[in-house]
Amino acid sequence: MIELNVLLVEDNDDDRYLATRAMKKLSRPVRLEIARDGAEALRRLEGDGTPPAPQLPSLVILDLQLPRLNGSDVLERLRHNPATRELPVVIASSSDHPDELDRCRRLGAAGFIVKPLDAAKLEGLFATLAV
Amino acid sequence: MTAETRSTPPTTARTGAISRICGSIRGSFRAKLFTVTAAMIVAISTIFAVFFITHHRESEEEKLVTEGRLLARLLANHARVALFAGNVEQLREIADGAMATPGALSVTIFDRDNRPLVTVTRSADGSAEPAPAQEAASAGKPGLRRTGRRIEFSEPVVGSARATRESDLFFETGGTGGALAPLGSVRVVMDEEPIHRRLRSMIATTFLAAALFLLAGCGAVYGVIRGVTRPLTHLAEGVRAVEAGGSATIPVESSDEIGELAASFNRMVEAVWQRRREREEANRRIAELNARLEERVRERTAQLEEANRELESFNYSASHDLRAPLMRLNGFCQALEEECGDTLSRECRDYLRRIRGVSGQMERVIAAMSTLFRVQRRELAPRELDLSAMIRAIAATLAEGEPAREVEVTVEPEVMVCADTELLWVAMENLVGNAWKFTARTERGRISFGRAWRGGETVCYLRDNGAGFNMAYSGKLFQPFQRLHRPDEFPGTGVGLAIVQRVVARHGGRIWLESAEGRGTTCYFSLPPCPPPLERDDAMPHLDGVEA
Repeated sequence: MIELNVLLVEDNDDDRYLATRAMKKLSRPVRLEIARDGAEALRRLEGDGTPPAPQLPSLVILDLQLPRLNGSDVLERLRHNPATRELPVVIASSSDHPDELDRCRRLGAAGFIVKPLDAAKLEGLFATLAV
Repeated sequence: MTAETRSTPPTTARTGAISRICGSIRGSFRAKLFTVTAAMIVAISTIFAVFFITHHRESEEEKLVTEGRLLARLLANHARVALFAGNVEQLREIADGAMATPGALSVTIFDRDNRPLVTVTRSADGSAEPAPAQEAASAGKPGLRRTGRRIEFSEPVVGSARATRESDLFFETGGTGGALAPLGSVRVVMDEEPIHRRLRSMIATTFLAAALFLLAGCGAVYGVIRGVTRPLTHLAEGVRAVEAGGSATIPVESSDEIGELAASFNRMVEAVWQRRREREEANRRIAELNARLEERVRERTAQLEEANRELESFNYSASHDLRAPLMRLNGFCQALEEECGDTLSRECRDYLRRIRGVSGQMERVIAAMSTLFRVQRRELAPRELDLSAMIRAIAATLAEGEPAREVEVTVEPEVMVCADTELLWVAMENLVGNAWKFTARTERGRISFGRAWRGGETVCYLRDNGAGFNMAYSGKLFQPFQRLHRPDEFPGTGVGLAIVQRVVARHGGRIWLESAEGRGTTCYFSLPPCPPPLERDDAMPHLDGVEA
């Protein structure tokens, strides 16, 4: 089974801890990268504008409530960049946020997941996305 | 028929003109007063003139008759001797002398046999001239005869029957003794024409005087009438002006009753205007106050809305921000259970279970709060929907969740309401959920939904035969987190009815509950009915009519 490259964008230390723990419990190998806010995530995914372009992960798990640039803003930026337009992005949130979730749906989020992440939820998500 | 019709118009026109004049006299006070006064002057003048002229004429005629009679008598006396002597020359002189009397037209002296001896007639130039004796004296007796405008006076000339000489006659005194014998007669014709001439000129003068009097009288009366009617006209104009909403001051021309009337009118107009000005001032002040009040209401409303928005926003964020740490807590509980579940004592595992239970409660409360705030914030999108179908669907879901329970659900079909689907769904979920929950300890639970007539309108009701509650606490029903049962009796957050109440209120409806402990609860609520669909025929009847 091929190793899955996942970028987790999460500002909360506890959530990062629980997510990392859940990834380790998965039956398949996952290489987890962490970005602690939206700006860091964009720097990682878009690079500094000079070639070569950075290697993209197979999947981005994006927290909705981030300081400064929130999840939907980051998703909008990624969707407007031709290099990252097709990148699957899953929105993670601790509760329903109808307006923001609607916006993400319109922006083409690949899926939604309720925090905290655990192994069962991740397995289900990967199965749905077929990654 | 036609002849009559033809002859009618002139008559009608004449009648019309007369009636117009009569109408204007009747309509104008001035004309009425003037006409009456003029008629009175004319009548008085006429009576005076007729009386005066008649009287004058009679006295003149009497004078003429007296003169004529005297002249005839004098002539007869003078002519006695000459007639006795048959002295025609003397008779002529006597007749000429008689003609000196003004008004005498002719003098004739007759002899005993009634033959005219001397006749003197006034010619056209006024001088007396002898005329041939033609006509015989009509009578030898004294008398008076009128012919046209002449009066004839006859007087016999008599002398004593015993006189034989002229001298006898000189000393004779008439009728003292002895018989008298006729010697002849005289006739004097007096002319009435001068009287008539004078009368005519007098009539003319009288008429002239009357006319002048009428003119002067009318002038004077006109002045008086004008003094009465002009202020009346001013008054009428003033009243019309005030009636038309304007202001008017009329001149006060005198200090009499009419002047007083004009002054009173002016005072009244001033009073009316004063009152109107006061009223306008008051209205202006009220409008100003209203405007200021409205502005303040707008300001306050805006402030309240802003505060409300902030509060809602805070509540919403708070419910979300509470949820995230709760989820983390849940996550760590799960991790603890997974990692150390086997090594923990039974007691510790029980603590862990209780922690997760508490966390679940908190999650439910937060979810309920979140729903409550969403219900308040969501923008309404009302549309017609089948409430009966919604209730049936919710009841079916509940029944699926607890297949062991047997609850009889009765739903009146096709109850259509106009509401926001999502909000109404949330509300009905809570309401039907409550009915389901509170019939859990009832044998043969029954839930029924339908419509009823309450308080002058059709309302919906949802009735159950469950636990019910004491109506003494009904005031707390719609306050969030207020519960009327212990958690071990019936679980819940205490937010459900608050959500239902807010949804109904946001749709402009009302809601109330009727219940009794152990005998179930009925929840009544009203929702606006759907507006009747516009049919094409009703909307455009004219176009249809034209096409037809």
